[in-house]
Amino acid sequence: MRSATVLSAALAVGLSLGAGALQAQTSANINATATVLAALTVTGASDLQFGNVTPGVNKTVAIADAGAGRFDITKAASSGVALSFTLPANLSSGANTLPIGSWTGGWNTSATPAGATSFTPSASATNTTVTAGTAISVYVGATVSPAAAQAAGAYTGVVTMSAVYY
Amino acid sequence: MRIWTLVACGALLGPVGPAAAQVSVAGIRDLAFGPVIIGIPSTVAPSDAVRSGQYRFTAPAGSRVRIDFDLPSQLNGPASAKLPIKFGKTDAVIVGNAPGSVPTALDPNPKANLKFDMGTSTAANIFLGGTVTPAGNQAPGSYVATVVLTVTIQ
Repeated sequence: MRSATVLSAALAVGLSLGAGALQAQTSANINATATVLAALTVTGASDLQFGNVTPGVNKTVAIADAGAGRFDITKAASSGVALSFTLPANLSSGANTLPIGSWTGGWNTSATPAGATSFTPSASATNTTVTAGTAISVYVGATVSPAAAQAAGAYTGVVTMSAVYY
Repeated sequence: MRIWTLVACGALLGPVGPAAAQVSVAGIRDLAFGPVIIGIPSTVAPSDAVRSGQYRFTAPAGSRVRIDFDLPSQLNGPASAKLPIKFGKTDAVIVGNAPGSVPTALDPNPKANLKFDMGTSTAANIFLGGTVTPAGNQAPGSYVATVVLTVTIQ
């Protein structure tokens, strides 16, 4: 009789453990990660300056010339930036216009056009993949085409560059 | 007589080991938001094949499992900086490995009382998305937190 009692107790324990095992539980981890980038800033550093131009004679300012336009960008390290431009088709002096075109561009991680990576400025984004540094200088050149009867005067236009992380 | 009793106990306890191995879970892929911009929320959908988090678990066909997430409310960054993270009601998706299994959206948030019937599947993948919301003055740098998935056979 004593043996039967012990066996019953053992059976009860066994069934109880078995039921617990049916609710087997296990866990695993993953990480949630993000990298917050430093604020992106763009500054117009130098105007694109053609100086004096002669009616009927095209004049070009290259990106390596002293009159080249320059934008400066500060950004996060090891990040890519996409550049896009809004470019005038003409410079204006009152009601008079001076055609401008043949845009050229180059960007560099140092504040010099020497060794800059060339690109053609346009409304379409130009991606700059820069794995080092937190500053980019962007140089812009173009050609103005004064007509033979171009009215004298000071002509201006606005060149806008936008930069976004990509 | 006492010897026979001890033998009987051993036989009854034997099945516990194999039954406990019926479920396994592995973290496959981190939920990776990548670069995020100050002041601009960034969302990863669970359907994102690259950036969504992924777990895989196994359980017996025909069983029902309970799914519990331990979700962070913020990621930890440099100098104790915090980046808020939220999970929407459809930011988790589960799909079994049986042919014809249909992905099902889940609410990963606590108290959602998630259950999944394995049917003829013997394994399932869970994909996890979410949204981080960098503040306007969020400190730049890398942020991370742990997301825990627990699977229990019912």
